[in-house]
Amino acid sequence: MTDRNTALMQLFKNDAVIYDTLLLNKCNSIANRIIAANKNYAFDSIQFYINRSDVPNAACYGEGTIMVNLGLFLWIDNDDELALVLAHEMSHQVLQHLQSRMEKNIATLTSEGFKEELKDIKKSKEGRYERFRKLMKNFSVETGRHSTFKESEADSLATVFILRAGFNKINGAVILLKLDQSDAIFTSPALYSLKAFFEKAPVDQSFFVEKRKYNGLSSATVTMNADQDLDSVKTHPDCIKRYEAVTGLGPKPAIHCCTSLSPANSAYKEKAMLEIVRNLYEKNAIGLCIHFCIFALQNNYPAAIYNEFLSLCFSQLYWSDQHLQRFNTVNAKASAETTLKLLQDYLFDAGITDLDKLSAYYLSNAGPAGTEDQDFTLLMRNTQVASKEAVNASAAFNRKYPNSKYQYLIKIKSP
Amino acid sequence: MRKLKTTLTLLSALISFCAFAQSKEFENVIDVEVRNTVEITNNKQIVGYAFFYKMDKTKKAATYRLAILDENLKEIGSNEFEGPKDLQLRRAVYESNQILLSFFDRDKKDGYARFVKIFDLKGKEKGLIAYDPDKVKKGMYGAAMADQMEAMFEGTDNVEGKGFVTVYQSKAKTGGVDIQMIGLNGKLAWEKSISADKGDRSDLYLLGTTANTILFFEMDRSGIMDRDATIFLVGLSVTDGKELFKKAMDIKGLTYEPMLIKKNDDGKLKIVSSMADVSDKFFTAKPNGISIGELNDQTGEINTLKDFNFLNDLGNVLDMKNENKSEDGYIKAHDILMMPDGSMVMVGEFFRKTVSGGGMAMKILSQGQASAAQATIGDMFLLRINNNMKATALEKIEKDKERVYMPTDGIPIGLMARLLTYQHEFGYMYTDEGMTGIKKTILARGSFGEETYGTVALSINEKKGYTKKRFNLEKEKNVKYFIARAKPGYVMIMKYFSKDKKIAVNLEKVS
Repeated sequence: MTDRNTALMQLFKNDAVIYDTLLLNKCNSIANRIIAANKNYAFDSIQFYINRSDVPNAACYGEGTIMVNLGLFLWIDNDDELALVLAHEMSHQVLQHLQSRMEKNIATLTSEGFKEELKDIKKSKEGRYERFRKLMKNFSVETGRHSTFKESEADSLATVFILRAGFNKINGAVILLKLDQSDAIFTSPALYSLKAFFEKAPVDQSFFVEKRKYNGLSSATVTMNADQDLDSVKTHPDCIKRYEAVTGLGPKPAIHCCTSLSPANSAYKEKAMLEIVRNLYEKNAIGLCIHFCIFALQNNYPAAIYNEFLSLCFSQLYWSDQHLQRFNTVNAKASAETTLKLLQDYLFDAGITDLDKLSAYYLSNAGPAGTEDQDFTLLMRNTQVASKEAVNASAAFNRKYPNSKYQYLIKIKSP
Repeated sequence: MRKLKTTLTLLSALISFCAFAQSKEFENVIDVEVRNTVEITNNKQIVGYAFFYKMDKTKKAATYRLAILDENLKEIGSNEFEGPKDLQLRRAVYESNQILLSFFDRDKKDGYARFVKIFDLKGKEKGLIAYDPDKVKKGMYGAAMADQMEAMFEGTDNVEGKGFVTVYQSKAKTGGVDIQMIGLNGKLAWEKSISADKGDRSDLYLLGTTANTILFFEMDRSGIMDRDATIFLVGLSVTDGKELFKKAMDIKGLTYEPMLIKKNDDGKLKIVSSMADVSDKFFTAKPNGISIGELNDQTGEINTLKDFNFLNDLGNVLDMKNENKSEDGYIKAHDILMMPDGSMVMVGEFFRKTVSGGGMAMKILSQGQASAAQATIGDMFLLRINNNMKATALEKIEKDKERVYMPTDGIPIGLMARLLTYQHEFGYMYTDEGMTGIKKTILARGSFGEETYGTVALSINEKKGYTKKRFNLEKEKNVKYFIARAKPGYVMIMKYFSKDKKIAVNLEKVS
């Protein structure tokens, strides 16, 4: 329990959670409707938090704490879909899934047998890994088996909850089909054309034209999930089955998801997109940040702000290159033959003068000069690319905008 | 690479019911030893990395984990297997979705064992081919000596579309090599030994491979102590190991010592050799020029494009003292770069034989037993050769002198150059040709007119000059840095945090 709470606190400490009234109010209004229609269930005090992750996900942390990722809002087209996701997580809470699992795990982890064996393993000089693997194998299998069963149980109860609250379960279950395709935002070649996007920029186009002699192992298509979870953000391979179970329908409708954003629910999507991009920029995940900016521009999201972020990203990339941090800034661990991989390769390859030009080009495409957004973008360009005296430039910005929303970013990003 | 220890982490209790991943966090329980980190190469370029860990050990064996990483350090495959207690991964080569890993087992009472394993990219083992352990028993050369020699003579390379070739230094008194050709199915296609007749001595270096031929440079001598040698270029058929040609490299009064072969964009093979007078004994000969030719890998025929005599052909750009020595010292040619406009740039370094003060003192104290000889390595240079094969300019890249102790006073210049190369003493590290092969960047280490010693990237302009990029590494307490070769256009910077036993790896652009 302490570990769980520590992990939860860590999310807050790491600024992984934001307070956003638009998104929180939306969640709360749907949750209140569900609670009101299901008074015979003990919901405890449900508390929603918005996690800044771009992965479409929601999670119940127990004791009424539910995290909803920003990435989920990009694909939610109506209240029915959001209701199903929230009801699913609330069902975990009502059914005390986390509690019972934690109790069981704690019982295992704190059992004398487990502790003795772990102690022995630590002391032993030979065969430690094999013994440890055997010890943990039973633990992992048990939790996995329970998880599958409990997911179905939560789906069933969630269906009851949303039906009683007047939501449409057939519409709502479509989110499961979308989640089944959620890798597409990182992998689909239909996302955008990198060549078309950069051809107007005044930079060397040879990367898009010349045939590369070199093919590293990244160009070989191999297994998914060999590395980290970015290879596949899907964690439940059984979303289709879950859709069928929830709807009672056989063949699933065709879903065109995760390569372009539908205009439905646009206010929430725009908010989520902006916060995702801001978060990625803050975390220096510049490869992914540029990816989302291009995706936003392709989907006709407000051009000025994403051009600003593109300018900020290329200024950051320039600075990272000069400080031997470019690789980690760009690396998105993209899979072979994906749009993200091509973008990542370009960002690895682009010359330093082109980074400067791109920073300037997207700044010129951003909002009107003299605004706070523009001045901040210019400040970052001046300090990261032009190496103008950072302290004075920041001070001047602070004098002009004493209550600027960018204060925290200036603190993080100024060299 | 260095033997490092890192830490595996163990399950913690972050358990949440997510619609998505239920990640497991691990914290300290079991120490894992990183045995080796090896570059995976294909056609001499880095395409990925193999990380080799020791996970577990018992009295007689150990469990190892192999992680296959792409060139961007993303893990794409892995395997765990049992093996001998003290196994080291020496080399890794990629070809057509298969990876060959060459292992070295030191834990043998009677010498050591060698074997290769073939894996697919996911890490699934496809085959194991052992090198007959009888051949590595202690003999005249002994295991230690043979181990030292292997760094010079052994080789592992991919054969385009066909598989892999591994070359082991023969422990026979007559020298030579034992060669294994391994198919893409992970099975031994053929093996062959090349050695000299009784009383004689052969030494062979693997120069490289083409789709048809495995190319060696062979030195034949009448015994190990002989200072003269006859030089051959040997080609073996990839299909069955049969000798396609054995071409004597004594031609028209000159001995040509092959240094490198390189494939052009037009598919033609370039061969670069150093030249010496045939009347000189090979091991004491002073090189008097550099030759560039085109090689037919089926017949061994060399179409000489140009023999550059230092005095006659390079005298216009080099300040020559005599035929084989300029004012700046002897010349070591490292690489020949084919520029997009058809011209060439030869990359080299000056060096000379000098006397060490400290060595002289030791020599006096030891009554002549110690050596006072040292090699002094000087500036690098770029020699411009135009489309008419005429040397047009020599651009010097000034760097501080490096002094290297030599084991014996009587070491000849040719051997000294070879020794400095094998011991990686020259400033030149390697040539990076970028993703498209158009950019040419030399990676070198030394003090290039600056106070600090470090690695610089010298990007060569097509017509004239170069740009320099220095990799400035900020000093941190308890942190060690290693700069190594990476994918084209990049260097790998490894940070080892000795206190935390952690490694951070980063790739940086060379230009």
